[in-house]
Amino acid sequence: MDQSVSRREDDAAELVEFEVDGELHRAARGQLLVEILGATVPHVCYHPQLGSIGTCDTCLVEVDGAYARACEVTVEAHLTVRTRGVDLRLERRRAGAALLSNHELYCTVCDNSNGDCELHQAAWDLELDEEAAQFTPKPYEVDDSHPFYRYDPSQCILCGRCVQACQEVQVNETLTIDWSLPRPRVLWDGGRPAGESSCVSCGHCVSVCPCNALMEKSMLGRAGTLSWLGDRALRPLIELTKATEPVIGVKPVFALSDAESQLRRSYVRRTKTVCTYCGVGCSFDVWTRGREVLRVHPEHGPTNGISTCVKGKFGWGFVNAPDRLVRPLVRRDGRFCATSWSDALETIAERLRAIIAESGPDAVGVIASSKGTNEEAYLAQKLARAVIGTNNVDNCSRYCQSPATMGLWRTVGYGGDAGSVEDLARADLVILVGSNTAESHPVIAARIKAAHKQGRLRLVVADLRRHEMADRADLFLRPRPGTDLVWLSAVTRLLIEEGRVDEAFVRERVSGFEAYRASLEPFDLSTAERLSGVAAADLRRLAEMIASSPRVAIAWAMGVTQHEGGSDTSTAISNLLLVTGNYGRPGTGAYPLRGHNNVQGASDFGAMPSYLPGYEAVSDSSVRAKWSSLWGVTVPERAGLDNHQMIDAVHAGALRALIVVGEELGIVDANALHVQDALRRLDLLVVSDLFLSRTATFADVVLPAAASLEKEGTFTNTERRIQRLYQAMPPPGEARPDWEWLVALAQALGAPWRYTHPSEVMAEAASAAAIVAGVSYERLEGYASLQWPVAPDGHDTPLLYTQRFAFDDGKARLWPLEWHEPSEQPDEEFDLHLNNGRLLEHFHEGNLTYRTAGIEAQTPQPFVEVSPELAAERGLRDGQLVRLVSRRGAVRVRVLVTDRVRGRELYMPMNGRANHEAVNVLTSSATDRATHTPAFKELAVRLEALGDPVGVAVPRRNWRFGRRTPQRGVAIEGKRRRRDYRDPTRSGGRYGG
Amino acid sequence: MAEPLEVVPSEALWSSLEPAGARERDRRLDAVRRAVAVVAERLETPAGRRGVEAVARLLAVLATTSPRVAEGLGRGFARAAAALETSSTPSLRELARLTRSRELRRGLWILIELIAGLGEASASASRSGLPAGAAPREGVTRTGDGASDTP
Repeated sequence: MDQSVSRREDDAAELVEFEVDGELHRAARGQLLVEILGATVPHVCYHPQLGSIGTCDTCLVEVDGAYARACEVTVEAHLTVRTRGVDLRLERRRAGAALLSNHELYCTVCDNSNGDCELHQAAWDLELDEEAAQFTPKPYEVDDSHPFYRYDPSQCILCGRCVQACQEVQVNETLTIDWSLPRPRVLWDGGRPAGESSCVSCGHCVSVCPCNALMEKSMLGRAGTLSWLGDRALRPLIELTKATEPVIGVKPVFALSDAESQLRRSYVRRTKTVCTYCGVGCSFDVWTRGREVLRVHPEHGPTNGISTCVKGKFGWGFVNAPDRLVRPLVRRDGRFCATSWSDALETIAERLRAIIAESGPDAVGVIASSKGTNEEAYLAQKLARAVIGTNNVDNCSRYCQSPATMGLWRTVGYGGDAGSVEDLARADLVILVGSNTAESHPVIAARIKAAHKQGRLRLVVADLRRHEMADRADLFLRPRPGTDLVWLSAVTRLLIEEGRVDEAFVRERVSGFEAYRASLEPFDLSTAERLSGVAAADLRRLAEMIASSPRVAIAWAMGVTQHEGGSDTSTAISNLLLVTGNYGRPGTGAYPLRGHNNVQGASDFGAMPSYLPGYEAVSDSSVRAKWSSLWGVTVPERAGLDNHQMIDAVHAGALRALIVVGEELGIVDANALHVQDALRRLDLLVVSDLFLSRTATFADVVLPAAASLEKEGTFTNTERRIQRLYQAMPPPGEARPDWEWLVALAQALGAPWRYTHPSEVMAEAASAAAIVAGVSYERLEGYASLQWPVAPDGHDTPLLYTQRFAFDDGKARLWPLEWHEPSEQPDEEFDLHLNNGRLLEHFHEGNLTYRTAGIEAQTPQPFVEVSPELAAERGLRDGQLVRLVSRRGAVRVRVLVTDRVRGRELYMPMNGRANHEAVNVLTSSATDRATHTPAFKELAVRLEALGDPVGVAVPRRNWRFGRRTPQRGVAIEGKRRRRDYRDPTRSGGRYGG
Repeated sequence: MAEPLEVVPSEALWSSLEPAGARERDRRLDAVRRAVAVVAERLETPAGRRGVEAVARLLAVLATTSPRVAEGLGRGFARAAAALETSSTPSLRELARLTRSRELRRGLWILIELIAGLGEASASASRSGLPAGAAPREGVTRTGDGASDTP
């Protein structure tokens, strides 16, 4: 690190004094006045998570003698603010009236009138009525083209919140307002139908709309007491009501609609939950009416605030899918029979007892779910260890994140993100390696994109594909597959050679520097350029960017971990951060982006073959003694098998029974046909799932599971943040939360388990596992959260390593590395490299997401991305059916010609649910050398064009074909230039206008 | 060897539990929706508007009712309920004594106005052959059998 580079830490907020209506106030310098005044002045366009927009003018105040919008004034010492007075009241009413000239009031029959319509509240506060503002509809049709929401221009008050959210928070840059139109309106891609635009359906615009201009379609006709009546009945009722308003005034009508909105509270339930998809850990209120999901409303989530992605906001169709399993199934006489829970559990217990008696407990394995709760992961591993008597327990982090954890264990001690998502947004430089963040972790991407757009950070992306983050990057590196370790090590070596390491940090807080430096010897720039394909000049530039950035954070994902050297590359990332002193300060650190909602928690709570809850090693006799004492059994000493080893053990005849909690390993594990063959060979396969998954088709017993909305528990996100989810609705039919049947199965096997609620499970885990010692349901009430390690007194750790690293001596460890060529390389027979991964719209194979009609319509099937140059060489056309063949199997998919991929590199998303379209039919059984995570990304294939008629790979209405319209915020100057706009800040004030 | 099974007995699927009830609920909702649409359309007449206006006035009165009046109304309802409970009919003398009260006379006046309004509406409707409160829509000629509307 350059000595000249200062270490900027966040300044403590300076308090200043100022006067409001003659009273002295104190607040932090720079805070927005509107925040301080709160409800004292009405406001519509301002939202604390959107910042100042300045369109509505309703928050007008007088500051030091001149009119100003309170949302545009930052607090300084000695300000004199006036909020009262007839003049201000009149100006605000005028502003409010302008809003209502764009909005028809029919609150009593409006689906948005739920007691929190901000326009309704402002109209009340400003004492507005229809006479104050003559509403005239805008000359535009309602835009109903989007699968998830509709835009009604005639209800749109042009506050610009939606545009601000799209341009500055989500940074998808789809929405604008055309202020030059005679009647301005919101536009998608400059004038496309919303459903055919670049809109990624993140839902920000709908969530922040202060009225009903943008509404979730799932709310329409469902939320109100009368709104279901439909337009034909409602229109005359609305007209009738309006006819009475001149006579009776608007207040009784408002009172009626307020009373009606209270009535809605009796049947529309709002329940806090945590998203069940990726590892970001978005939390929000889910609004339900019976079993119908009306709306997902994000606002208070500690990680996401108002943010969501398409899956979290709209992807809940699976909850009420007609093929949800509602009764247990038992395989009898070559078919599934519906049966009772007692019969199903007794069948499992009886057969487990027989297998254990014949072959011992290690003939049984348990795969916990990284989509289930922490409590369910804890019970699954306890079932394996304390009831069955084996350490054969694992979870799906084995397919994705174990190498990242290994890299961190080796170097800094804790297998979790160094800080929080907000630290990524606070960094001066963010480096994304092997992560299509905008599609795989959209809300984290939004934070990075926003900071980047605002010029607060620089962005470097290293990836095979030119995805959205690559397009936005200040520097885009495109290394050859499997060579990340090479260029990372070369950059680190260059920084050391040029004396740009943080010497004090390395001296005081890191061990092993000399041995590490020696290990970098092979990674000179020219070698790195030759092996990785990244130009030496780009590596020099990256080194310069790192050295000149006070705060550097690196995030990575499956592009790093799913290789034979996944753990080593993860280690190389951490090494680089250590030598540059980028740990232990806000805005720095290592951020493996966890894939599933609870992939972190499933490992934290012990669903791993070598670790008990809290990453306490099974091999440690004192650890075993502690847990043995707690559970009243002897925890087995024998090392357990991980997922990968369990499949091999089935083929070897050593593992005879497998209990799978909600994992689709038959499709998502590598070399899927090999895995399915193992499932076929088991003497007993038990699968708990919402649906008859591919894995479940091989089962002897299938248990109907409850979805996350139907149970209580906790999830831990990628930031180590533990959050509670509450039950929004009961499970359908006889479906049960996994924790309930795990308890019942343990009891059927003779264990005296007496849990009646997940909180008791958490209390037990917290009593023994140090990293969650202070976790309790009381401390996680509502939107409260805790980031482990959590001390017994409840203090948590949002930022790790501020004082010491998690080793006995408190020092981090530099870990020397070697690079190995990927074993599977393209050759003459299999001449193309096939990269693979997620899509924004679908989660993994799509068992959940295909059951939301809007998602399926936009992205109905997997496809293969082919570069324009390869398409030209092979004569391939968009939509053409091709066969991809690897050494393991073959799939048939349609071609999408795109420059996101280059040359002879292909990309195929993993959203295939059947063998003929699932990428893992192609992938191999090769694994990461340290953790056995499959090397999904090391895959050579050949491509055979098929003669079938050309079809559609991705519908043209998909967001990928849209054209973004970037701008800053709502481009407010466009409004203020209009001839019909009267700027109140120029009109008066004691000294103004 | 457990070969994959892809058929689930229908009774084990959510579709076996929910759709029948949901279909029935949707059918009823549709029926109510149509009925309300018809009523709303018929209300969209000058008389209908006047009726809604009157209800709105009532709401306005209720919304601005002072606590004292609300208390009186409650007391009145309580007395009325008590009177219903008694089996004896008040004598004319008892009634005459009550009318000495100015408050009672005022209440009777309000009641009579209300009843008169309803009576006039009813008489007018029976003359025109329409239900009470309804009136021909402006610009619409009603034929003798009421079968069709022509502009």
